[in-house]
Amino acid sequence: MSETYEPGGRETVERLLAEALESIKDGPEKIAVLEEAVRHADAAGDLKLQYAAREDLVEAAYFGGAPDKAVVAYTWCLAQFDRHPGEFDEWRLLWRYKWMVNVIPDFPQIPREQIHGMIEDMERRFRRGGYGLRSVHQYRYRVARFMGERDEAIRQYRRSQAESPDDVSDCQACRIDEQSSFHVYTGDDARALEIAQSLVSFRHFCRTVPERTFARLLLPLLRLRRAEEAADFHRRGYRLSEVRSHGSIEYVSDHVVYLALSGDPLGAARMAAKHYRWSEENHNPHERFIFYRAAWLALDLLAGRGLTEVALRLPPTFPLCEESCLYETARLRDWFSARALEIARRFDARNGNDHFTRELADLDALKRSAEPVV
Amino acid sequence: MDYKFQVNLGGIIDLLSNHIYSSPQVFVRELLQNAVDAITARALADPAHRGEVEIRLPATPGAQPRLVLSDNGAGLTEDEIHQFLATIGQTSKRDADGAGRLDFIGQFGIGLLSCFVVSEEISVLTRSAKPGSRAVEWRGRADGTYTVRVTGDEMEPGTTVRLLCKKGSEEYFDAGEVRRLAHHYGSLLPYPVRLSAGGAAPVLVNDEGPPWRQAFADPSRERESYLEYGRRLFGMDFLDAVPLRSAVGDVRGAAYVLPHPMSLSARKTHRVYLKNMLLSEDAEGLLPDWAFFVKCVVNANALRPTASRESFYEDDALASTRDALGRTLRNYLVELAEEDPRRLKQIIELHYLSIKALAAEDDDFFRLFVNWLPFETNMGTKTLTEYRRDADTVLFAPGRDQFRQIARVAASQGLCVVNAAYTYDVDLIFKLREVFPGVRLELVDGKSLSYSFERLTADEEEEVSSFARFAGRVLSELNCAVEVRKFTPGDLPALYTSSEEADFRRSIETTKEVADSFWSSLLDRLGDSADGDAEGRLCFNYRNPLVHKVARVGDDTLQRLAVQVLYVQALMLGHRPLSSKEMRLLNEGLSGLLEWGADIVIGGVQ
Repeated sequence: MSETYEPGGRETVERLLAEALESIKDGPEKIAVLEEAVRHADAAGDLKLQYAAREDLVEAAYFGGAPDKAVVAYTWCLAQFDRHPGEFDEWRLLWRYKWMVNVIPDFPQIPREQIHGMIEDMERRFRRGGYGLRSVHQYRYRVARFMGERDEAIRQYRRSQAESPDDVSDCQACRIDEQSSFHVYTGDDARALEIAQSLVSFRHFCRTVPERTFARLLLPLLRLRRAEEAADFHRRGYRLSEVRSHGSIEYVSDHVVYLALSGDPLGAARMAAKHYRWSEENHNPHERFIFYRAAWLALDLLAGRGLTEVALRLPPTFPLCEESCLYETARLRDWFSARALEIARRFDARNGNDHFTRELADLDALKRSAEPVV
Repeated sequence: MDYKFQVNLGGIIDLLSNHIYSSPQVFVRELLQNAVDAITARALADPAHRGEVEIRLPATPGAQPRLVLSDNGAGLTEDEIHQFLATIGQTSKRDADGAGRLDFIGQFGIGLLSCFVVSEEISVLTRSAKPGSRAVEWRGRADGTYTVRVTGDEMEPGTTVRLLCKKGSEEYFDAGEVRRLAHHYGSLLPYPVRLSAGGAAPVLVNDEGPPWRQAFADPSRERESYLEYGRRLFGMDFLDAVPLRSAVGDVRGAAYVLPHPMSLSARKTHRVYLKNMLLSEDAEGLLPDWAFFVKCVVNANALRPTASRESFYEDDALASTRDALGRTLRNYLVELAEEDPRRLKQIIELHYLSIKALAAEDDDFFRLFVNWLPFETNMGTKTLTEYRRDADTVLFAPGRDQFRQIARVAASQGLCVVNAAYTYDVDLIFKLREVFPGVRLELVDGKSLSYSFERLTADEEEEVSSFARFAGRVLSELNCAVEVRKFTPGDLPALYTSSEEADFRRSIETTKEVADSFWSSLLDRLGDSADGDAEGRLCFNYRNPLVHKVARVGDDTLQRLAVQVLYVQALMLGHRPLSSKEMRLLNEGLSGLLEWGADIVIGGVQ
């Protein structure tokens, strides 16, 4: 490591970009390398290099559990794109815009008007670029769904489906996954599973599908009492998530919930403990919420079985960390439930309803749906 | 009698060549697979039967090339021929959930169909091994017409397929190419596959049996033989070879230790055979994720392929196989530690990442290997044994930037700090505490390090207090707090450190310089949540003579310029980018100081 100040320099930036893209998984390590590349590019004052480094940072941060950093780097790119017409690729910028509207509702400190303002800006830019509005409606659907506005969500979904896909629409795998997810949302689990058939057989796949598909269809399968398929989806899906990184915490949480509800709350709690550090290093409040909620469910079921103490390996960064690895189940459960509740309240305050706290209250219903232990 | 396909054969061929098969060359695989299936079917009825496959490329001067492939397998009856053709009409793909190949007969037709990608005309002469069967000939053309007739010829049971090359596909009928392909797909077949071209004597295509089918009396001969096989297969000189075997999945094969480091994100792919036919050259999921220091070749008789036949299906059998192969590799490393520490050292130098990955998930292995594994510290690379020889408590910096900020100063305080920014390193350090009770861990970052710096005496404090307040005011608009402490090295005037949150705030400020008002206010909101320490801190070094002087300068202007320059200098030493505001500070500071100095000199001259 050099002790002296090394001015940016194209070569340093390119070396760092190559290092990040070729050798490291999505996650904090990769993000740190790309942040350093951005710094060097800034120091060099080379606009194209600054832009290229930030494009990579946007992607790594978005997929690696630091969407706040992705938004900052994206904002910079967007501003430079506007200041230097014709200099940068519009398609790449607009494609990434979808990531931004996808994560921005996940931050409860962002007010509703700003979220909707962002989608309006996206719509203007898509129109200006000559692209269709499928994605624009799609994200209005997602935002409405996120905020618990069911009628509006369904209306926007239908609008998005009525538009034909184009270059900035999601890939085919993601489109099918979205359809399947919509049917879960509207309560048609069986149809959701039918639609996902070509995804779980890997006929269509992409960076996040079918990892996401497997995870989201676990509950529908349990509700339909199709236990064997659920076990198969769990095995195949968890294997995909386990080897990924912080961005997969949401899917890991689905697997935790699955284990908890299918009669193995101890396995669920262990899985949550194993991935706890991902939740700590993940900057997305919504994904943390999902994780806390899953851990809460697992521990609550354990406590409900009369297990007063549980042995779990949690890292020293965990606030209640015990060197003995022995934890009072109820205390641990309460810690996770308090975290989940705190975030849920912030979301509800922003959204102006009780969608999130109600979802937490629904855990009881979920528990009742759990298979009795054999 | 003439029949007509009920499907558009041209369309199916197009579908096959453009969508289902990755390249026209697969026709060799499909022909060979048909022969293998036929031989397998015959061996089921007659275990003593010895299979044989022969490929001929007859000389065809002035005419389109031909390829003839014969097997002595089960053959087909006339009824079965009609049946496989019916199957073609029913389905043009393998069963969707990857449950395996269709039954032998249906598969035969599909395999044959792929030959139309390179053939104008195909004939199949076959006689079933079933008693009382007669030889039957099927002849099909790419336009979709075909004939079937009983020839009544005398022939041994088996099948001979003749292909007439399509114009433009001549390259696929080249003897060298066919031999290469037959070897590629069928080199592991446990019975002879022979090839003859232009009337020359047949040569064995699959002459080398894999080493795991051989018995070795001498372990070093065995190792040599495995390595030689790996060299031929992958064109690489490997560091070592590990025989693999798993009862689950009925797997045999070899893992080769790669002679170069593998990156974590590289796809880890292996060459896999299913029932001795090549399934894929880049199959994933066969080994546990930590085992990326080896490249494998294996044959599995009892694993399920995926629908695309590119890999194995993720089921319990595959999971158990993966565990078994993982155990083999783990035991290999453990044995190496006892038997050949030099080789182990060599392997660890290249593949410590892979071995760290295993240590992170396996306590016993961790115990055995932790003292072998290298960690980056601010005093060079060390193993934890070396580290713990000199210090009781393991100090670690949790991130790339945190490490870099403090590395130099910590070293001059005599503190050895592990850079735990790399994948697995944090996990391993945390595990130290779990596996060896009593080991103490301590996280070191800029803040905790500066707390450990020597405080000033009351007098010294008094002496610099107005300077510290002044500097604090100058830097407050830069979101930076100020302290004065004593630390080494004395030639360092100030140390700038910041947390991840402070860096995030800085990146927001930099971005707001170019963003419009909508995005700027969005970023402000986003930064609102930064719950940690959102300020950077600049710690002046009382031991530094320059700082001493600056602190005593009575002149506000000069002091302000000096603080600005020292701040920017500290940022640069920490590899921080300068925002335009900071760049302005630097320029202002430097030109201000120059002007001030020049005034003195000029004043002095006057």
